[in-house]
Amino acid sequence: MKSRKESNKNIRTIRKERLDRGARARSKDLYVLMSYEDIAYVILPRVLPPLILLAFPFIVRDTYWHMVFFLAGYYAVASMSWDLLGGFTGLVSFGHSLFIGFGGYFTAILNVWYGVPIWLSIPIGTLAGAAMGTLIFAPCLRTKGVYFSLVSLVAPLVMVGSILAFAEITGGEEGIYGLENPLTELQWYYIMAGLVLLTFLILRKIAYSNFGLVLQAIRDNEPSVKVSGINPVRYKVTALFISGLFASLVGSLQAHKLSFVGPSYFYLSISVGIITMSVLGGVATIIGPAIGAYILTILTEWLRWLGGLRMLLYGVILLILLNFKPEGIYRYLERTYQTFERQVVEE
Amino acid sequence: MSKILRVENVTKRFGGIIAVKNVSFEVDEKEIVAIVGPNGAGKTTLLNIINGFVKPDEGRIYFRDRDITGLPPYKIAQLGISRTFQTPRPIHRLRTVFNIIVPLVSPRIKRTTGWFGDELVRAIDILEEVGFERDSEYLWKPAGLLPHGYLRRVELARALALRPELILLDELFSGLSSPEVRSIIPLLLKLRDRGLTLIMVEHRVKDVSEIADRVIVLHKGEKIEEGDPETVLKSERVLRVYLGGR
Repeated sequence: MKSRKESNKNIRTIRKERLDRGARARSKDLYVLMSYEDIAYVILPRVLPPLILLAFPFIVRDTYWHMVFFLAGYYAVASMSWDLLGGFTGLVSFGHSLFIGFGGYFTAILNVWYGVPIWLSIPIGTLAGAAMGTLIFAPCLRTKGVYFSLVSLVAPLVMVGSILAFAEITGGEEGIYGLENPLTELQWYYIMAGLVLLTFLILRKIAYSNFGLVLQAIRDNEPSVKVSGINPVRYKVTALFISGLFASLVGSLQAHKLSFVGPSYFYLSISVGIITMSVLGGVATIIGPAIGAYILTILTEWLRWLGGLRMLLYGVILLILLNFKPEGIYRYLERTYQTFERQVVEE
Repeated sequence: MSKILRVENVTKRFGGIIAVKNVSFEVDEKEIVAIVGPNGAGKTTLLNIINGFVKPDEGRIYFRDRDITGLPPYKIAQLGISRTFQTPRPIHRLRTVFNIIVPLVSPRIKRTTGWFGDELVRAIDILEEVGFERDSEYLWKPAGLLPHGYLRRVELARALALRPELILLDELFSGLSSPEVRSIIPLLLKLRDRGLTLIMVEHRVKDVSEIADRVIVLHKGEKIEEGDPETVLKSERVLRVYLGGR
């Protein structure tokens, strides 16, 4: 026996092992860190992206790019909140801009018509916007699948019509100008960056809680949820409201930053953009839509010099990605991350 | 013994077809009642009516002397009637244990047990009860990847997690091999001993003759026979239905 052990020691076979296998014990969240390599493997993907986001204004000092990143953050928050509905609950909404528009308009009406200060108009406008959007979408919850998508598609279009009809309150085609904007571009950048991180943390917490489990169950199998003694409509309405809060907040911030709201807040292109980013980044992952939002927004800005060709290239890139990585960028990254290997010396 | 469920003159038509025709029966507490009949006899429709998926055209259903006719399914479930489905319907993309957590967060659990502990531990307990190994890897697989026999057990676990007083089992044995059936029967008897009432829907009388206290035979939506398994098996009307004729 002893001699065999001795000889084995001399051979020293080298075996490859997946990095996450060695570092990760059976449980999903328990790590056994053995080296700096392991520590970096676990921590870097979690710490680096937020650090880059927070340090970005010091790396790139061009205000133009700060504005681009604000816009990307705007889409990131909106599409992460869409993911709670479309990805987790199965309510594929084509009218998420309804929340953004309501948030913006309520904030503008409060701030401009009633003189409510910015620190009050944003929270009140957000709450009112989310509540109003939920109120409009709630009756549509009786429909399912494609039918819900179709009904949700129409809602913002109807709102655009109503805005033009009630021009005395809403400003009609011109919208409402002159919202209070006391902050600099850099401050807006940090508000949005913080909001992106916060939204991600909150929504991920919600999505992976028991509440999120029920939402996923509703998406996959509603009868089974009903016989489990759970009222699916109540859960769906709650999901709508939570999702609406974030989208509405984004609209509200945008209104103050631009000092302007108009019917464009409700435009279909925003809703479609949100869905495109979510699908590109990976549906039902929360972080995926944010990745998609940053990639697509930055890409759109980069390709600005192409003019009209930009949209063509944009479409081609999307088609290629959706054809070859239909599960979304995040899932692809996740799988790649898990295949990192290290060499283990067997003694 | 008090009656836990009373079904009174229930009729359901789908267009011109009468799925269930003037069916009445009562179920005692801690009883195993089997509803059998050939295809299209209206067995599943009857379960759907009891559990609230389908509203009857006529007739009433009482659960513990409370009229539950026309209540939505989730309210009926909250009162303590849970069911399984003929084709197992797990939540495919969720891991098996998470499937069981869904009923555990229903208001009924909070109300009846006042239990706010770790749902995950509770879910694993329940899965163990229906025959999963505690450290089985199946518990952590997405439920859609489980073999058919296991899915039946997941269905049963989901129904049990609600802490029901009455369980409706829709063809629990269909598609199972006879060893699998034999392994589930003791479990059902154990549930009965624990105070649960079971209503089983099955195709054949023979499958349930071992455990059923009473058998109700449906044919073309009508109740044609009721009694203990032996008498039903000997009944001439039942034989006629099963062996053709009429």
